[in-house]
Amino acid sequence: MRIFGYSINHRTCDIKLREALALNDEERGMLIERLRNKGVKEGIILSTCNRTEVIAVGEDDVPAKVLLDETLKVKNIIGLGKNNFDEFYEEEAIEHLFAVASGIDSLIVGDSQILGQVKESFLFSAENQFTGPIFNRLQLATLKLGKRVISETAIGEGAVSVSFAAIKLIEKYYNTLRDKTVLIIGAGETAKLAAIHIADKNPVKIYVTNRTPERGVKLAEKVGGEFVGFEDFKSLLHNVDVIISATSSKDFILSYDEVKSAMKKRKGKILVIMDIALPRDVDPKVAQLEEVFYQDIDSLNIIVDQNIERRKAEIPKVKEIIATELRAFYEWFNTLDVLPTVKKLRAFFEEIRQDEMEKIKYKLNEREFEKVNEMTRRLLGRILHNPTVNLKSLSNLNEEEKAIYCEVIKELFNIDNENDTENKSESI
Amino acid sequence: MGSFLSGEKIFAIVLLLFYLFTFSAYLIDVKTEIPRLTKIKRVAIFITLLFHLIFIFYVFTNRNHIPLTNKGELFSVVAFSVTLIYFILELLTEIHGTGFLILFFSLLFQVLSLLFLSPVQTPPSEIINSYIGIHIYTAILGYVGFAISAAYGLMYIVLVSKLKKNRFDIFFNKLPNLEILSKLSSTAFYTGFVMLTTALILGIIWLPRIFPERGFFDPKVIATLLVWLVYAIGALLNLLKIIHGKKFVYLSLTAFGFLIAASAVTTLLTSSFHSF
Repeated sequence: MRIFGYSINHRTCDIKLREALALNDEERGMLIERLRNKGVKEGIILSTCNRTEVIAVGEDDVPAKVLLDETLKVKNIIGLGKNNFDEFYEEEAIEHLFAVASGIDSLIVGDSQILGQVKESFLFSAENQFTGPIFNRLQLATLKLGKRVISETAIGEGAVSVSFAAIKLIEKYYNTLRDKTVLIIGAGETAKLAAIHIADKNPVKIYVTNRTPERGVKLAEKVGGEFVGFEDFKSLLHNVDVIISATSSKDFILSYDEVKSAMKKRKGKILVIMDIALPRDVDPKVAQLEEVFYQDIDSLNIIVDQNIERRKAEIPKVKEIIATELRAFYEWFNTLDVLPTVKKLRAFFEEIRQDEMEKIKYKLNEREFEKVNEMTRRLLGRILHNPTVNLKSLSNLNEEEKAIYCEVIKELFNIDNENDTENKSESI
Repeated sequence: MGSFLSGEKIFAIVLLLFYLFTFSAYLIDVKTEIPRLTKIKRVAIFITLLFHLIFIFYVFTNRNHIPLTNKGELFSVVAFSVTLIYFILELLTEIHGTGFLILFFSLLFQVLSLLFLSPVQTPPSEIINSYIGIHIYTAILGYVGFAISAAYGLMYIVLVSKLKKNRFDIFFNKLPNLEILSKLSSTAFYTGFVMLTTALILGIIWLPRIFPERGFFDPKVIATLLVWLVYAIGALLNLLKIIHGKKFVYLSLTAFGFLIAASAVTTLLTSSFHSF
């Protein structure tokens, strides 16, 4: 029995190939069927925009390449360059899964979504009866690791996208946005992201303006805001506390004089302008106005870069947690070789006990029988405690040594010599 | 008596070391990101306050009068008040990054207290009067309020500068937002103003009764009235919404500068029945 896997990710493939290899739910279901037919017993299939990977457990004779070969067959892709995927075996495979779940293997270090995606892939496998004792245990270990990484490190802290950094920076000006009015200029992807982030802060009002009204109206509806025509929004400037501008305009949309004129009406109240467009939408000269706080994409990128560096500095801490959890998982996993013997040994003694109890069943009244039954059960438990613990501690030995110990036990007690490996999963 | 004196001095030196440790913990915490330090500094400030309270009680029992009768005692009470108000603010707001600046004042006043800690002497009977105690303590709280307002105002200016210059360093991350700093500064401003107003009213009521031979033209009284007037004008302008935000912060800093200058001039260049 061994664990193995492959990973196609942002380091091994460009986005085109990653897109081509992404698996939807139907394809994941098909892949599970194919792998099962090839002798793979348990596994997970993780497919996100940045990675497609399978980690599985199968018999020793199942070739590792079967995982990738079957994936390519599902996707009707012939062949893949050696550099386009990573392969993992045994501890490396689990270590890789832990690294993925912790976010240190992500394109954006500390990605907060990946743990949820890993969890979903475990659930998907469970729903498709592609998990068993090993992957059930692995799921618990992975989720525990994920929680530890979140609570014990700062790997996921700090904004790492410009639009989110803009929102975090706005919080450096205002304590709350619940009494603030926000104007979003633009309805493209960046403006949309910023609008969604800021809507989470529940500002008292969100105005959205855009050259193309249809897109603007749609975004306004999405964030519970109000659409304002592109010709009219300048008359609102003095009423807004935050402006987020992200259009593709080649010229300035807001001039120095327009902002200056609005500031006169604001009577000293500050105005925060986040210009996340390239080229810029607002004349940067507005920063000279005393109560105007203007930030462009360059200043926001400083924050993003700092946060990425801060997250990277947390990687050693995450790796320590991974090492601890990996050790814990393998301590359990290595006991699987001896568990069938433990089970048989205990069953052997239990059979003797029940046989003897059967013999005295009619010589005792019900109460006396129950007492003796309980006493013999406890006695057996105490007798078998040390052998059980010691057998499990054999997990640190190599396969051959473990096999010798198990063989001695079986010979000693004349326990039948069925193939332990076959029963491993059932014994857990 | 000598042993009592040296006991007070030793007590005051140990207390100063507590302040130094607490201040250092807050300062290091601003410059680094060590999670454990947040707990250490909170424990440190609590122990310092507790120790200071014991110190005040010790001085009170040792001298048999409230410790507000000379500069050494007063500066110590000021240090205690600043620290206590900051500690309460920290507990209420969970803002940890501003402590080093406020505690700098505590440290400074505790150093002054040690320097001015004079031997035990019987204070004038007028000062033992408990009403005068209220006058003195409200005046102290007034000045403490103004000092804290200035400190938060300074942080506001620093944060504005960092935002304008895109300096997003650790100190930037530790500072609360502009709105909070402005609120803390103005709350401390008004608290200080109310306290000083109370102190002045009590002073005006009790001055003719306690020092009938002294007039209101004492340099300290005039300076304090001028300080009060500056703060009163500031409060009025703010209440009328003529100045607010950054300008109000500048006003608080300017008023505090005036307060320091007025105190320095009247202490160094004039003589007054006020010994502090």
